[in-house]
Amino acid sequence: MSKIKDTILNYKNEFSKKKVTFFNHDCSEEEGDEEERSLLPGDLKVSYSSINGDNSSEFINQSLYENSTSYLEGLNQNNQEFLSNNYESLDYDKIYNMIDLNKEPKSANREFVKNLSRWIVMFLVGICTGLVGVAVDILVETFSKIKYSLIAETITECTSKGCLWKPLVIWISSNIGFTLISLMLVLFLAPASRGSGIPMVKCYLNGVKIPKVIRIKALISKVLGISSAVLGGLACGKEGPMIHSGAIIAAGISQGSSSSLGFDLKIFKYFRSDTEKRDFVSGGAAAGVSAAFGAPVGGVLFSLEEGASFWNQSLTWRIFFGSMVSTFTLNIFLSIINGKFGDMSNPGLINFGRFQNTTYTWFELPIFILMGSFGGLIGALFNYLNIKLTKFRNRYVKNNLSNIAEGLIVASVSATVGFLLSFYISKDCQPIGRDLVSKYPVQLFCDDGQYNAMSGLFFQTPENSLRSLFHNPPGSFNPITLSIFCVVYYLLAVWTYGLAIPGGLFIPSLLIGAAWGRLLGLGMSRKFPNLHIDPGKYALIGAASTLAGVLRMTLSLTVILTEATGDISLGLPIMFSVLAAKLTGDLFNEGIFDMHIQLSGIPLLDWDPPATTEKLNIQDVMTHPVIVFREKETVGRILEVLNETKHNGYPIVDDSIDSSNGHFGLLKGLILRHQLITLLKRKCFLNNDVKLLPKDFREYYPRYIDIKDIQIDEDYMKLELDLRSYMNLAPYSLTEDSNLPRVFRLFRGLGLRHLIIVDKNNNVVGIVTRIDLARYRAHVGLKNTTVTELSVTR
Amino acid sequence: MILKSLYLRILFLVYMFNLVTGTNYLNKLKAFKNRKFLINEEQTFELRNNISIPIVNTCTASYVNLAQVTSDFIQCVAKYSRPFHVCQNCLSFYLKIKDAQILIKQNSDIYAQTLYRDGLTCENIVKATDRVQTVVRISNTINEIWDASRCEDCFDNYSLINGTLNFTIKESIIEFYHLQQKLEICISDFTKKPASLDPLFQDYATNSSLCQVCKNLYINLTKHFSKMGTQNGNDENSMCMDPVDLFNYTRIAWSKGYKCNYRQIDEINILIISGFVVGLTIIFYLVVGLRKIEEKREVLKISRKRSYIFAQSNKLS
Repeated sequence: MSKIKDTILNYKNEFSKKKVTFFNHDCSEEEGDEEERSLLPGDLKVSYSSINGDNSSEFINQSLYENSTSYLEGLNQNNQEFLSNNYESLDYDKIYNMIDLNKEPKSANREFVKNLSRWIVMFLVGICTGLVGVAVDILVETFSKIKYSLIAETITECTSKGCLWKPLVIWISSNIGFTLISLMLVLFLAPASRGSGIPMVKCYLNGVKIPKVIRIKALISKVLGISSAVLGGLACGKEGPMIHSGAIIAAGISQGSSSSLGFDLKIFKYFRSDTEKRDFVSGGAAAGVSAAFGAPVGGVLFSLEEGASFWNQSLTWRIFFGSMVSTFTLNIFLSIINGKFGDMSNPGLINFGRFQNTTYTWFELPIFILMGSFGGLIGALFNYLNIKLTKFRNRYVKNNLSNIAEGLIVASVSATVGFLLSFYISKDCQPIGRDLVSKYPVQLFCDDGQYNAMSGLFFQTPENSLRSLFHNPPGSFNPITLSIFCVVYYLLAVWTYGLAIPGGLFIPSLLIGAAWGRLLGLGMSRKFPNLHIDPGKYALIGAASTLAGVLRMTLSLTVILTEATGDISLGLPIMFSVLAAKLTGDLFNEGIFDMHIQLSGIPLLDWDPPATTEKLNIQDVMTHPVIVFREKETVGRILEVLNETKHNGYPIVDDSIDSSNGHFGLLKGLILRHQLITLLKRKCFLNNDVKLLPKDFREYYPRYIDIKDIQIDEDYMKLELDLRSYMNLAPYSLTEDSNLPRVFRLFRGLGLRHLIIVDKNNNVVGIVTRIDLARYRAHVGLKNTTVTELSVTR
Repeated sequence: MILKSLYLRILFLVYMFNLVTGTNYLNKLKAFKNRKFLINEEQTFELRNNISIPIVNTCTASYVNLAQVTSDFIQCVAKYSRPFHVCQNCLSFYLKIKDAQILIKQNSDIYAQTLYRDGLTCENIVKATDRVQTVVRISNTINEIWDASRCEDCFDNYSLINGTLNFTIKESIIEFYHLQQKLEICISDFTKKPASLDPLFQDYATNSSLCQVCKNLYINLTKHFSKMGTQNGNDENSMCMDPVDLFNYTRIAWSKGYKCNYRQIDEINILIISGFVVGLTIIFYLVVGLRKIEEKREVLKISRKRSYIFAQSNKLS
């Protein structure tokens, strides 16, 4: 802290010195004026110079600087959180240069074809996402049937023969086997498929390029990995990964090619840019939600709330179309598989089933709000514990071996815990046929004709357990079973999220919430026996508030849950509980996805600039000095710069580069790294009159060539490359007097990758990139708002 | 009631007709009324299945028939609910109800032609001319009972021809009854009680030698029962209720009544395995967590205008 203060103080002194020199310099140039003015009395001379235009801008500058400096001093320096410099931005700014302007128009109306293709792509995305959902469902259902019926049979056989260790060993080893598949896929095929995938999609849509997230490998790993993770008995769900899968499918289809699989259908070439891809990815994410929950509207709103940083009406309509197609496809294929073709009762991977009694009375609303707050509390605790664990993992569980070991340990503990609970909490016996969902009732130590309620919860996929909690008749679980299950599953879920498997958080949170919600419902119906309280309804509210407490999503969550219940009448209670959960949880920490994003140092930009940063002048934020090119630049310098720096855009200035004046020359345009590399590769410097076409630049999208692969003879180094036809003619720029929020809004609103800062005369003085803006993070607390400046690491 | 109101409406129509034509049709109609509501006991009509119904008109006859068989069925169900033997015992009544319903449906006479242009069929009159629709409700209830009991699952085939019922119960169910009978006999040797295990007829006295002697019979029965379930490809919920109920109270008697549940619990094995898993977990985290890891975080120096100018001016001076 003190060092920084010293620097700033020193700087202040230096700055005042510098200012004096500027002043003298200006005056010495205009000698004639001085002679005239010297006739005037001294004090008048001072007053004259203060009205002079240049000096008044000095005055403004000084005031801006002082404000900004004092603000910087008050910033909170944080050594716990870091931003990583490894993440590049996506380029959402459309290129505007000479070759694009001079391009020959095609015979067919290109815009019409493009619009039509957008709809076709969304249709295909919907179908494929639905089919992926079907595939996951088939995989999980088929293998879980084999697994659980085998275990259930062995238990039945062994209760009389005294070999109960057998089913335990079978359970543990099947868990280990499936989990191992999942771990292998994630660690060796596609590390980007780890976790829920929602944070990744969120970052992508925000404009951060996370390597290998939108790849077919990630899709394969995601689909197979999540199926085997669920089969491995881990406390995770297959819904979050569906969203990531949808996003990958959308990106893949819209490009009409796959570089991993090595084919190129030569279609949809006009969609090969970050801007177009972004829109399809947000549609794919929506289709994923829609397939997962049977909630097309919720999917669209999810894309809006969590994902899409950029939004427009026609896109919304297309996304909705894709979501509808997705849920329809899933529905019709599941109906074929279930042997009831045309029976549209499976709109999503998880459907909550119909609630018998969806009415509620007014005095239940305050109870629902309290339940929401409680959900927020345990959600906040969940996030706190999980982040602690993730920090531990980031530090100690790093290599593949320990990752695999940890995953397998969690898998075997999950099996052991499930078995031990069924074994020792064996008093909750229910008559067979009471559980409407469970397919593998296990008698264990119950009397003949009864089954063990605890094993009913553990001996099925989490989705089915959830439905049991929602719909089984009152009395089918006793309070001890519910409370123990809730606590144990909570701990397991905290432990599981963050393992090297593609597991989601929706189902575990819902399940925890449903357990305590049902418990509360049982208590209520015991306390007020004449109200006829349906514990299933309370389970639903508990599930909603826990999920909201963990994820802190609001609008989309409410709509998703309401759609999943298929009944609008519970919309209001769900909304109240979600709201209460979010408000309560936000007092303690942020949503789990946001916390994970922050922990990995991804420079995510929020909707709004950080609060109270109005005083921060952009000159203290922008990168300086700027590396610039001239309009005609030698091949040698281009190669040197590209090799030495990692920047992706370089301002182009006119010839008079003179940084001693505090600027780098007059702004002419902006050229991107990949353009330069393509120009070098095509050896355009040999004849500057031959112009490349826009499609030549698209050729290598999205994996551009690395500068290391470009070899150029020494003889050519002196040749000049004319950049004028290729540079962006009108790059976005702001003046140096702007403050952080202004820059932030422009940058965020347009999805920029580079924003050039110029002085009053349009000379380049600095450049702002995503990481410069993401460094400032505000935390709005109850008493005060603190702004933190994060350090940047490699 | 309905017929009466119909009658009054007809009266009104006829009265209006009288006014127009001047002819008195009222007396003729009175005769019609008498014929309709007086039941002539001597004239009977031989329906199918040896049922004779006094003739008023064919629809009334069919309706009375339906009422009779319905009440027979309900009585049968009530009687055989405990212990549950509904399917086997009430099959004939169920089939007779179905037959009576078909008779009503097939009745092609048209009634009250004066009232509606196309006239009312027998089925319309019986089923759909009042608000409560008792006939429909009753028949729904009957179907529900029959379906819930999964009675169709009991039989290979059945037929009702001329009042004689022919049916064959599934082979596996007969086998099940046979096995259950054996077990009951075995148990009755020890209890001197009538040979039914239903809790209504039984006062259980625990006897450890009973468990030993009859254990194999019980295991056979259990095995056979679960085989029946898998044969159907269904669970217990979709099996014929007669054997399911028999099995239910047999196992209640066995496990709760005579306390013959035999279990061997290898708790030690389970504890060893669980302990192994827990130990592995602890060892893993100890090994991983106790390693010394130096945190390598290279904080990048961000170049800003101020520090840049500062450095430049330092160079100059």
